[in-house]
Amino acid sequence: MEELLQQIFNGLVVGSVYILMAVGLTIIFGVMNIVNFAHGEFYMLGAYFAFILVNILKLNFFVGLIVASIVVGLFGIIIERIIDRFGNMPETDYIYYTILMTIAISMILSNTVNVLAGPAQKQILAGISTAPIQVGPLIVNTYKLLVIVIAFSVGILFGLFLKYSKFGKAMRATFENKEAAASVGINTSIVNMVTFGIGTFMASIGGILVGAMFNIFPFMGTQANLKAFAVVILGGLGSFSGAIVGGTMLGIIESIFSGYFAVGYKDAVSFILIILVLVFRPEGLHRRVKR
Amino acid sequence: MKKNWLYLIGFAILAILPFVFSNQYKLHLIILIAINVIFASSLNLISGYVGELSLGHAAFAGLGAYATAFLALKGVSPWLGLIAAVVMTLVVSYLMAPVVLRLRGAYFVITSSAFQMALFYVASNWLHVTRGPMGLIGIPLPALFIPGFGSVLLDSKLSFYYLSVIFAVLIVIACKRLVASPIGETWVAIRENEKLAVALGIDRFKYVRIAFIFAGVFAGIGGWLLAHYVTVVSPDNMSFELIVSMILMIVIGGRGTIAGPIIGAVIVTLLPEYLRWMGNWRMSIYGVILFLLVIFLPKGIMQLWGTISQKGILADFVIPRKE
Repeated sequence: MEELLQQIFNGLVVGSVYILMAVGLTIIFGVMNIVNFAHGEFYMLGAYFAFILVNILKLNFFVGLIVASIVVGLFGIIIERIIDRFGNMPETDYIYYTILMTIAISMILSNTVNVLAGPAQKQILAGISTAPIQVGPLIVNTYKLLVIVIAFSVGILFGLFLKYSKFGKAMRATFENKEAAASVGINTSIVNMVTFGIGTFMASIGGILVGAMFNIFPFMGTQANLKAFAVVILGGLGSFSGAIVGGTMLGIIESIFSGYFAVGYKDAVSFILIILVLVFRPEGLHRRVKR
Repeated sequence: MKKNWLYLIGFAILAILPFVFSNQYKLHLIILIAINVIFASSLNLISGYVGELSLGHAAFAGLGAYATAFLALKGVSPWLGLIAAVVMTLVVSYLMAPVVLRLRGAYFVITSSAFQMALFYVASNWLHVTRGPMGLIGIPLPALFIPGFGSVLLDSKLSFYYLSVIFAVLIVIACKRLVASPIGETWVAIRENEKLAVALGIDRFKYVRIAFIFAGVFAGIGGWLLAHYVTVVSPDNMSFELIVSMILMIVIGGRGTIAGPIIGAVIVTLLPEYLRWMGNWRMSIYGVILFLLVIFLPKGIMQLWGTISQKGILADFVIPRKE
């Protein structure tokens, strides 16, 4: 039983990163109808940028975390502008072509980093103790707790922003119905830009947290992206709360699976889960699916 | 009648081509082109004519390759391996159809991608059966039994050239007949306006499933060819790179046409050879090319052929089946 609790806790740690990624993907898809196959690359870019700031420039980890993510967020806005500039095509083809565009962007980003930084794995030196602390039956450490705290804080802050701020309302409106939002005077271009920026900002935070916990390598984004997609399908594409529940669940299920079965298949779990969910409940865990 | 002559000339050219390009390396490239033509044409059925971007299509190529690899390494004839590849992809695509095809657009893309990644992970981790990334090696070459002659082992580039080109031609012809048939027209109807098609009484699922199965089986045949040519099968046979290159082929060439995948296959196969000097920048450049293509030539190179292809034999191959 103790071991199970431990697995659940570990799953929560990883799950909180999944949540960050999935929420970012969800808002990008919900607001702009773009399936962002490059999302994982922003996760990776954040990690590499933080690596430069923290390991090389010796900045404080938290400073590096925020600064790197803001830079990545801004970069995300640039990418969004590029997609927007070139993405004017018939409605029916839009999803097809934006997927291809984001795949292309993903290829460019990950392979360029691979050439420039080399394929060798590195680790961000967070400077936060990983010494084990006993909390009841669980063995935790400061860093893991920090990951959960940071991820959930970002999530909660974003949720509050969405719910209580005027711009948040504009975002929710555009999420619900783009045309209607535009026709009541909401500047959907700006909403798009900010949404993409926030989404990539969150992905970057996820990447940095993981980069200090495990390691970073140029293609870390590909895997993260697929996990994020798994969460989004689990939770229902377009459901904010589904992303949160799905992320937590995936993290925990993976953790339990790798604890009791072979570790190698851990990643296959997410894909098999997707298929199972889609066979038995295609709308995902939450019924509020946006078409 | 003129059409038939042109086809004959085309086949004659294909027949003597290896004697013109007798350089082993060039033959190797042409064999790869032939296999890629099969892959691209198969993807084109579901992504070009039905219009759903199948990001998981490489899975069927890999399934075909592994199916024959398992059997061949146990001493089974490669031709039975071909039947196994076809049966395997047929069964899997039939089973996956209800799961994957109920979805549209973005959901379909993600699910098919998930399907492929799941298979990829299984292939990489099930060491006991697939030997993971080390792959299955030493796959035998197919042999032709000609009554009166005995067994002819297809162990030269020349013989494999004929094998792969014959299969490529057969599959392209099959695609062409499918597209020209009422089934193909239904596909286009579904792609152009699904609601209208359904309102007219078309059973969308049934027709999309047909495309999905044909696409899967053809890809499996391509995988079979690749397995016996390279004699090594590994998870790379169903990797993300493979599906990206397949997508590049139909985007460059023009999806929704018969010639499109062929042209795309030629370009995508030869491109790495020309871009070899770019070394490690190759994949990034691919990304840039893909991006530029999507923006400026979304309908592929076939877009540029618009006017000259209005008549004659070219029309069958080149006019995209759309508005």
